[in-house]
Amino acid sequence: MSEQYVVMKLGNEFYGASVMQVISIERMMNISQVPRTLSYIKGVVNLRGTVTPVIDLRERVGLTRNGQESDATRIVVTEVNDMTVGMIVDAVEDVVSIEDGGIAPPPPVVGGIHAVYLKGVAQVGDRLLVILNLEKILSDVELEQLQEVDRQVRG
Amino acid sequence: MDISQYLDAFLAESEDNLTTLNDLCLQLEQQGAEDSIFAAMFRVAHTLKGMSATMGFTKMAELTHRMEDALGYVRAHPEVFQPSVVDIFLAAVDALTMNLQSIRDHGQDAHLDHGGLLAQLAAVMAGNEQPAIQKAASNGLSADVFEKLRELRRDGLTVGVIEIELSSSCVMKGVRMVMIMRAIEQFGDSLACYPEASLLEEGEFEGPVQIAVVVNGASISDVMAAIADITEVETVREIDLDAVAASSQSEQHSAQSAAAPEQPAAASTATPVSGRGREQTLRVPVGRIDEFMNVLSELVIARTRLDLLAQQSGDPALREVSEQIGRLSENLQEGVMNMRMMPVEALFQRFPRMMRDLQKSLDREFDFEMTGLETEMDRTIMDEMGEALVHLLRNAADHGLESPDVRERNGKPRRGKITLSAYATGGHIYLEVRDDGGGIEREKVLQSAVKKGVIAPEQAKGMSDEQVFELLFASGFSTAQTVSDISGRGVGLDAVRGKVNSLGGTIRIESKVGEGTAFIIELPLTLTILPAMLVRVGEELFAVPTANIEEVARVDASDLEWVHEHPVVRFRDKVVPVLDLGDKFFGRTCGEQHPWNTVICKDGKDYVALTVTEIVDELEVVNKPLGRYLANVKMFSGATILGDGQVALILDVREVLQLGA
Repeated sequence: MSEQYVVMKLGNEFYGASVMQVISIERMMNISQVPRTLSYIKGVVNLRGTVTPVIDLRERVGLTRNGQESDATRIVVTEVNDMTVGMIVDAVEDVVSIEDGGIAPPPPVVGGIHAVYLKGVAQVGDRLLVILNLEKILSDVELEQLQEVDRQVRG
Repeated sequence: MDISQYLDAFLAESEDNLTTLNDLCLQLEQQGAEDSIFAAMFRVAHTLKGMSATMGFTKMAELTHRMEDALGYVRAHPEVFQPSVVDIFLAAVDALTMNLQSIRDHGQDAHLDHGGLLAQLAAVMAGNEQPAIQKAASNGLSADVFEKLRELRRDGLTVGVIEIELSSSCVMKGVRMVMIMRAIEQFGDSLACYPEASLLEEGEFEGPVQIAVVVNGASISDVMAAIADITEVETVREIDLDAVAASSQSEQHSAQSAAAPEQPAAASTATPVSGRGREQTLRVPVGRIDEFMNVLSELVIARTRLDLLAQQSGDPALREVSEQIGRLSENLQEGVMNMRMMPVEALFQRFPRMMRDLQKSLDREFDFEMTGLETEMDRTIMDEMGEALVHLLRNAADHGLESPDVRERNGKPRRGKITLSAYATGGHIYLEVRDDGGGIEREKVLQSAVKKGVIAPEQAKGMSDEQVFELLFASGFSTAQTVSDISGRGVGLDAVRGKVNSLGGTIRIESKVGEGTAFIIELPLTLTILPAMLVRVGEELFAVPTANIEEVARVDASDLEWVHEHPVVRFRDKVVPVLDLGDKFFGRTCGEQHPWNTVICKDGKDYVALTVTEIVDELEVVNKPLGRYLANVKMFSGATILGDGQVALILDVREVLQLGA
């Protein structure tokens, strides 16, 4: 058995999201900011009549380098546990199949709290694909919010 | 048989029937052993029994069967009726409600045990066993039926009344009667019978039975011969139609119910006792109306967009069409809103029973009154309000009213009064729970608040009555001397306020010592489409619900006063803090130069002046949820999609007020 993954580009790294969890891929659109929320929540968009929140995936998984919006920038709309969320990525490359067992645990260089957002890494052709744990990425908002408050309190 | 497709209808109908039964029990208690009430109850129980048996819910069928037996017995022996019988019937209604819930949740009721109740119901009959069942006062078809038959005879039909007596040793009278009915059906129809058909089928009768028949192509004697052939039929005779005189007014009613034995019980039960007419209705799942509402929301958005395009184009024809579509969609919108509206009766109907039970469990005596039952309210809001009202009503009975002895000592009537009223005015719905109890004692509240550390002792002196009443809504606050079983559990007043607020409403207290207390809840008419003012803060657009807006004001430097380095303005004798939304939302002020564009908002008694970059427009917006992912975002109650496809967040003024605190 194998599963298919959408390959997304962040800087010069590649990330994979299971096609089962991806609803659509959209061109960049006008985002309305939601004030006073987490910094990686970029706002909400009008996705064919549904108000959909959009997050910056780069910021969400803890990458430090900033991206530049370009023609290739996409919003990958995912649905996990009845939550629909768009993720901004630098580009979407293609869809690949990965055999069961083709995913290895993430290497120890990825440390700290951000490691939980990664399911593992897979070798696809000559590329290394980091497989995302979308359940975790989308479900920990509350926890994050608390940490944010904590940061604000401590300054 | 696959019954699943009927399950929803069964559940809905049974629920209605149980509600009716509950109401009837209460009437029985108030009016005593009235035959018309028993008759109505009997019919409902019979319907429930029939439906549950058909659906294969044996436990429910058994319980309703016993209930029917007991009802039939008490009806025939009104002398055995006593208040405790009502308690047993009410307990049976509760058990049936539970039973229904179990069917809803698990699809079956086989695991339930109604043993205790069955025994109690049996005791209603056994405890009062009398050898001879007495005949009811009247012993035949009513005069109206005879009148009707004479009319039919004049029209040339073959009609007649047959009196049948079964042998006294007959053990399965119900079965025999069914056979007799079948025999009649071979020749024609039975128009009416005495006793009622349901009683006959159950074998719940004594003495002769009268059946009015109309036959086609045969004679009455043919029918009589066929009946006489049935075993255990002792005598069959025809009654002379002209022997019974025309009716008096008082018999009108029994004639009606006798003349239409096949009429569904559900339709006929409510009418005789409640006396209020029923409109023709159609059952539609709420989900379907919600879907329709969603589509309509899209239409409103598209319409706004068309409006915008029409204005830009400057084409008068296009403008005209756009306006027409605007009007049509408004009508449509109103129509769907109305569909979502239901009379509050649907919510209130369970309260009389609850209040009755409360009187019994508390040391209280009171009359409970409900007014404005026909007031209509959005279904969603209504569903949400149930628990809050339960709490307020319990509160009124437990803490609001004094005990009868105390009332007497204070020169008040022993029986208190609790009123629940609903009314609509000015785009809002009001729900009021009022008691004529002791009122809220200011000092007691303050003492308790100080003791619990809710306020400092020196604060207490200067507080207005209104502010003192507010304290009751603080979480974990209670002035009850003893924590009672009734109000000591479930939601507190703080939760009631939370619920009301989450629905966009407000709650306040009016109280006079010695005279009573009222809790007044104000709710919006509907949730989904609301008028709003569109404002720009920096680059972003936001919608402020018009319901919260008091005034739009341009504020010059000279209008400002300062309190502890915070700007305030005077508005209607109030000192209103000014909040710079640009600063609060994006850290970039909107007030670089005067005059500031401000929107003065109000929530409950609190005011705030919001400074925005620009006031854009006033329009109707469709409130769309932000979704689960943003469930923690409290500052905005939702978002709306504007004519140009942009999303504008809808401000929750209550939360914004907290920013200034």
